[in-house]
Amino acid sequence: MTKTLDDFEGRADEIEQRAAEWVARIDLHGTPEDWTALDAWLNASPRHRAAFLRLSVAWRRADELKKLQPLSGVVDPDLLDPARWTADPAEDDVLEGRTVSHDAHLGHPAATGSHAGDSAAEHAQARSGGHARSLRVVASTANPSSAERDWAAARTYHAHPDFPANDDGRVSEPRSNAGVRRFRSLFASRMAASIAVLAVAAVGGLGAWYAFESSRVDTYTTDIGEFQRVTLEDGSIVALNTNSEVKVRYSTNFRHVDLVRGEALFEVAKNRARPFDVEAGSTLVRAVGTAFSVRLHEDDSNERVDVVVSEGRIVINPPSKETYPAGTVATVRNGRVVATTVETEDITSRLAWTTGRLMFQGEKLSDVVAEINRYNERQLLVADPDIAALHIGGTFQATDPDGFARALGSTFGIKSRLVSKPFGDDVIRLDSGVP
Amino acid sequence: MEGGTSQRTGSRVAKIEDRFLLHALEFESVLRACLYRYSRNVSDVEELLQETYARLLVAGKTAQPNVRSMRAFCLTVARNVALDWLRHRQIVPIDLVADMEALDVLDEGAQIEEIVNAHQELALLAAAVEQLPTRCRQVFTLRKVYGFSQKEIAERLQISENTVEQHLTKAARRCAQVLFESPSTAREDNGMFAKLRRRMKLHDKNTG
Repeated sequence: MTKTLDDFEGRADEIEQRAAEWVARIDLHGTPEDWTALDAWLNASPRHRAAFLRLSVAWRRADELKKLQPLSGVVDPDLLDPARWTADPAEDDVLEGRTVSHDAHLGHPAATGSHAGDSAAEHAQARSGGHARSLRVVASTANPSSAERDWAAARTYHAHPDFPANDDGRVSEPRSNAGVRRFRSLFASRMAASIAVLAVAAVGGLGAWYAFESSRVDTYTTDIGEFQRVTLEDGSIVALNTNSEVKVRYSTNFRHVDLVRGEALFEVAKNRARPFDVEAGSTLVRAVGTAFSVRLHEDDSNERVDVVVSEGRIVINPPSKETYPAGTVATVRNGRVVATTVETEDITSRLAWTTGRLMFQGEKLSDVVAEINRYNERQLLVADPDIAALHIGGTFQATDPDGFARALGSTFGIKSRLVSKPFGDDVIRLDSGVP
Repeated sequence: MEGGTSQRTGSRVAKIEDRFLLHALEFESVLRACLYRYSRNVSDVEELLQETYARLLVAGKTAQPNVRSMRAFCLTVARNVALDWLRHRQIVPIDLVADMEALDVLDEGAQIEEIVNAHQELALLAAAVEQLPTRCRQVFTLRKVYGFSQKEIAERLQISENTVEQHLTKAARRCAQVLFESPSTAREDNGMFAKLRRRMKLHDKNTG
């Protein structure tokens, strides 16, 4: 191994700071210029790259924290309160002061001029407003804010894994009607149509009964690796992903689609009088005029439904009134909705399958392989645990596992081997090629 | 977007050759404890650790003869870094090196401490967020938990976009600290370490 005397010149802290700046910058807004400058910095020394990788791994792992978002998705007002900062008035000042020199150092082409000006002006503004608000802050720091209580609650809960997640206070409101809702939708999906008709008749909804009876059911399915795009009678479009099935029931009063398995994207024709419902397992997603995808996971006994909203707004499990706008990615488990808002690029990549492609942005190889395997009889297998955690980025043809294996070979040096089985499908084994 | 993602196979993304470093992160606390034997100065340990990671990256690039235990390999690299450093300061005697090698048996015992389950990891992160300075905590939470954009955060909190970046920089360092370092850095000086330390000091006095 090579070693030079200046390996130990005491720059560790400086390098780590610079690496952290890059992680933050790339997370917020990686421009092509940023990428070029970052590459140059990374290539300058293995130390730079080591520090950057370490921080990147930590940063990605901190995504765990997304789990702590309240179910309602509502941001705690304290987090958005600009006046809260006066608790430590020096904080922003120090950072503002450092900003300019660091930008110059990182060689960010856009930042050196414009940002420096911005920050000075905004700083002055923040400072003048700061004094007026300080009174209120004293009061709010005396009592812990609800955000602080949330963090504390999260800690308490995780210290006691047996404690049910619902008991951390934040989720008590949605829980109240979750049981009823779940029973209702389970009832609707699991029982035969005739029983459902009986139930409706018992409530006295004769009109509804009529409407129900007159509806017909159309079934659309795809096999593994197939895609299908269907235009329904009202002009709405259903795009079926690999290995999926939907049943469409239309009547004068409602539009109802059962997602029996797999994943589908719905582009809904606007009609306020006729809600468009998608039922996936025990979850109901309602839209008026919008585009969204629903994916039903039933791999193990735990049912999970993923919803991606690309246009308009939707409601999950009515009569809940909570609406989720475009950009929402929601996961529903046992009637509990966990929603996050993501960037447009992220939505695009999650819906890339509608064009037969899959986009990855740094997911783990094991997850990427699981995703590609949904589309192919010829399965990829990560045979070496050392490579399972590699991060993969790029766009791939969903139905071309061989091409994916080749790409892994040329970029990462991963060896792939086709193993044919006498009774069953071929498997492509991937390993690091290191004995 | 498409062009952007396919470009990301550059040096920013972890590759197979980075496997030593990625593996070593999982027991950074042990590496720190190992390096701590060579210097009690925190910034020296930081220096040696970063150099260890850098050498692990370089090691990953060259064809590897069979590395039977990743852990043993990483510890060996850490020790070599420390020894180079000591040699560089012209203070390391041969008998001490021998002692150090014998000592590595101790590290196996530390394995139990390292196994942090996902629940604990989330709790650690949550506790760390709680302890961040107010503004930094606001910025980090809005970004990480709620996925706000840089612009939104800057507007809502009335700070510049650059300040948002600086707060996140701070938070990123804190995340790495919480996830990879551990209280074992501040471990009590037990008998064995104390003995070595005394010998090192004695030697320092003799040579320096």
